[in-house]
Amino acid sequence: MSVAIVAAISLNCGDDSRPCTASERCEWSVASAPVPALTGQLLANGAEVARIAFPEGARQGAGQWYRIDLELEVDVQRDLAGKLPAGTVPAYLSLAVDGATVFQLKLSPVSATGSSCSSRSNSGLEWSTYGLVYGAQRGPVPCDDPFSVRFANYLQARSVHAGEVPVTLKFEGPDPRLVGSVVLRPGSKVVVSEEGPPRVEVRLGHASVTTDGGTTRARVDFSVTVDGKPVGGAKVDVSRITDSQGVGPATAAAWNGEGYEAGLAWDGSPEATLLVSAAVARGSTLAMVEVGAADGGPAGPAKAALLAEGIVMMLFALMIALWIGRRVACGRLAIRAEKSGNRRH
Amino acid sequence: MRRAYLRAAFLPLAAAVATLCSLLAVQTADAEHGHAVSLRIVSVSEDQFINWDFKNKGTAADWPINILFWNNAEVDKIKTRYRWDGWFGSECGDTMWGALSDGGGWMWDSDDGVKTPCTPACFVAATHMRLYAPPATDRLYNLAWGYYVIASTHKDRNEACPFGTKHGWSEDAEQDAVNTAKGFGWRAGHDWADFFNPLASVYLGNHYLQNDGRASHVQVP
Repeated sequence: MSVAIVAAISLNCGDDSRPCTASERCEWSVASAPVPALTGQLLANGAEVARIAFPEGARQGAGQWYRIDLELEVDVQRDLAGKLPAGTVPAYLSLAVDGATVFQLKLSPVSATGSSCSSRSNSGLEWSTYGLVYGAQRGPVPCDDPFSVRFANYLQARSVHAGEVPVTLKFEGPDPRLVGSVVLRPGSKVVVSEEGPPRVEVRLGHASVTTDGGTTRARVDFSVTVDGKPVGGAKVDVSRITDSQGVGPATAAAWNGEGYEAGLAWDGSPEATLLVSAAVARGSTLAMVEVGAADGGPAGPAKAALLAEGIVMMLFALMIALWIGRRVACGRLAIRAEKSGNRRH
Repeated sequence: MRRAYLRAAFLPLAAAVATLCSLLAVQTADAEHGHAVSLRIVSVSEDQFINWDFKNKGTAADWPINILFWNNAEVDKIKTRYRWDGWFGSECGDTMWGALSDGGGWMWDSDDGVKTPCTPACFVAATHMRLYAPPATDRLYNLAWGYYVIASTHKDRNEACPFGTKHGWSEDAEQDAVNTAKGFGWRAGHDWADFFNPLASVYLGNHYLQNDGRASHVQVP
C-alpha cells in the first residue's frame, strides 16, 4: 500500500538558491511545497510526495522541454551498512512522475567482499545515477554523514500531459532500513523550458600511451562540442573499462584553453578502452574510445570499422581495376597495332 | 581505346564491387551458428543498438535481441529479480557482447546473463537471457522508454547430457522470459515491435533457428 504525503500544488519555484532562469517556467518545486524527510521503510512501497498540475496542451518536446532538477540528501544507516554481507544485492531509490521513472539512484557495494563502517570514512558502498543532463554520476557513501546528490533529467514523454499527476518516490532493495532518511531539498523542481537536451559529442584528439615496468600511462585529449560547436566549461571525466568489464575510478579532464586533457595510469596492458563522460549545462554524453601503445585513435564499433575499411578497400580495388584495365587495354591496342602493322606490311 | 579500356576493367571492377558486397555480407554476417543474419541498427530518439549480440565484440553474431526492459530498468535490478525467481547467474553462461549507442558514440557491453536451469539435464531445456546496457551505467535513458535495457534470449537443451546438446529456440525463450516477468507482476507485451531479426524455424547442425523478429517489452515498475 503506498503512502501519500501530498504537498500543495504550487506554480512558484520560490527558491533563491536555484531560481528558475528567464527561459524556464516552474511547474512544481519543493521550495514552495516542502516534503518531510522520508525513511526507506516508508518508501518501500512507494510514497506520493507531490502532485503536479500540467497545463492544457502540455507535452514533452518540440519547444516544450519538461525537466526535473533534484537535490537530495540521503542518509544510509551506518550500522546496517557495516553489517551488509558479501555479495549484497544492490538497492535503488527512484522517482516517477505519473508512473514514468525519471530518477534512479543505485546503492551498491564497491567491494564484492562486503562493506564496513569501521574505518569511519567510507562505508564500502557507492551511489550512482544516470540522466540526460549530467550523465553518469557516482560517489562514495560516507560512514558518518549523509551524502548529497544533484540530479537533472528530462521527463519521459508519456508523463507530460494536461492534468494532475502524482510524483512518487520509492525504495527497492533487500532491506529498506538501509536508507535512514531521504530529504528533497528546496532546489528540487520541475521546470519547462524552450531549450531541450543539446547534442553533446566528444572527439578524441590525441592519445599517447607509454609503458614502464608494467605500468601504463596514457595522456589523452578531447574536444567537446554542443550542437556542433566546441565548448569549454564542460565537466569531462575519463575512466578505464577494467579487465572484468567494470569501470575504474574517474579522472577529471582539465580544460587547457583549446580542449580537455587527462592523464591516467594503470597496471597491465597498454591497450585499453576508455570511457569518457562529458556534461554541459543541459546535456551530456558517454563515449568509449580505445587507446593502445600504437597511439591509437577512436575506434568505432565493428560496423563503422567495416564500413570504413570497405570504402578504403573499394577505392583501392577500383584503382587496381583501373590500372589493370588500362594496362590490358593498352596491351591489346599494342597487339592490335602490331597486327595492323603486320597486315600493312 | 576507351571501349576496350572499360571492357578490360570490367572484371576487376566487378571484383571491387564484390568486395564491398562481401563486406556488407560480413555485416549481415555469419552467425556463430554458420548462417547469415540480418544486422540492423535499431534506433529510437538519439539511442541506437544492433539487433543481435555477438561473440568477441563482433566477430560473429550470436542471438537476436528480442526483449526490451523499460521504464525503471537496470541490469542488476532485472537479474536480481530473476534470480529471486530461481534463475542462475553468470556462473552458468558464457560472455557475449551487445553494441549500443546513447547518442555519444557506439560502445560494447558484455554479459553472461541469467539462466534457468543452470545446466539442463537430458531432455531438459534451459532459458538463457543476456542483458545489455553501457557498462558505466547499466541502463540507458530516453524520453520514450525511460530507463531501459535490451536483451537476447535462446534455449540450451541437454547440456548435461553426453549427447544431443542443442541451442536455439529464441522465440520460445523470449516468451518464457517475458512470462516470468509477468509472474513478478510486471506489465509486458509479447511481440510488441519489429526488431528486424527474424529467423526461419529450421535446424542448422545442432541449432534450431527460431525468432519471429518482433521483440517483446517488459515494463519495469
